[in-house]
Amino acid sequence: MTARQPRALGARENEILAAYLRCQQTLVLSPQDFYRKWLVSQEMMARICLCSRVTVERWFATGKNFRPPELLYQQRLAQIDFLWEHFESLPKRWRRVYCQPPSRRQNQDPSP
Amino acid sequence: MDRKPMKGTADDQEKPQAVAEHLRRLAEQRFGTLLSSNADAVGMTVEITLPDNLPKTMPLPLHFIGDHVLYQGISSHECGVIIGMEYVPAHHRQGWQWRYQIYLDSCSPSKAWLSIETAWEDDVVPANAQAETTASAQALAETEMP
Repeated sequence: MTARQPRALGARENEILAAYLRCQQTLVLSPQDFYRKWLVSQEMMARICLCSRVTVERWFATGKNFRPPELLYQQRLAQIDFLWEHFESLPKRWRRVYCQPPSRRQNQDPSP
Repeated sequence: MDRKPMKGTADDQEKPQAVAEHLRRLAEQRFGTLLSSNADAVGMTVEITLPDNLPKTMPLPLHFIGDHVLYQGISSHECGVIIGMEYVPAHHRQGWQWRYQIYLDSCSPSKAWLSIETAWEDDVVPANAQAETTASAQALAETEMP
């Protein structure tokens, strides 16, 4: 096993980190906005957010059955929204990193 | 893989008495008292700032680990077994509430892509209670039918 040699964070890394942390709060999309924008089912939203259908259903419920969506789910909706809007604008190398079909990715990066 | 479902009844006598007693004791004490006594026990001096809205008492949970529960109040039919629980702030109640981790059963539509989901205490009912309610409703409907 090779020795761990982590890279130190410089000014560049810290600036990027600060921007990234700010985006955690701002790069979000509410389920209602997402549902208005894209023709998707609630089941598809559940698959995107990696949550259950009941959770999605409660985002759209009223009264005592309503539950607000957690930040994590709104971030996932914003991520797929970004990919659907800008996928072709991404460099091909990045597309392969983030969006390559699982079977091809597994062939290239076998689990240890 | 063979699946061995956990016991589904929520009978009081089958709940772990030790857990119930521990929770009852917690409900009777202040969190601050607990923290200071724990710190004294290990000879430490701790300074912890607790949130202002920290509840002074904690109600006993309606469900326990191992209970089979059904999600209620929505049209999707999801069910599962409680495998974890925590007492945390619930924004929809403007207070604190028990929240459970549910290991979804194969009857749940979301099981295709998800194994564990959370549920607030008022989001779920015991699976056997739901079955009894459904049976009673069906019996009533059959009685009222001409």
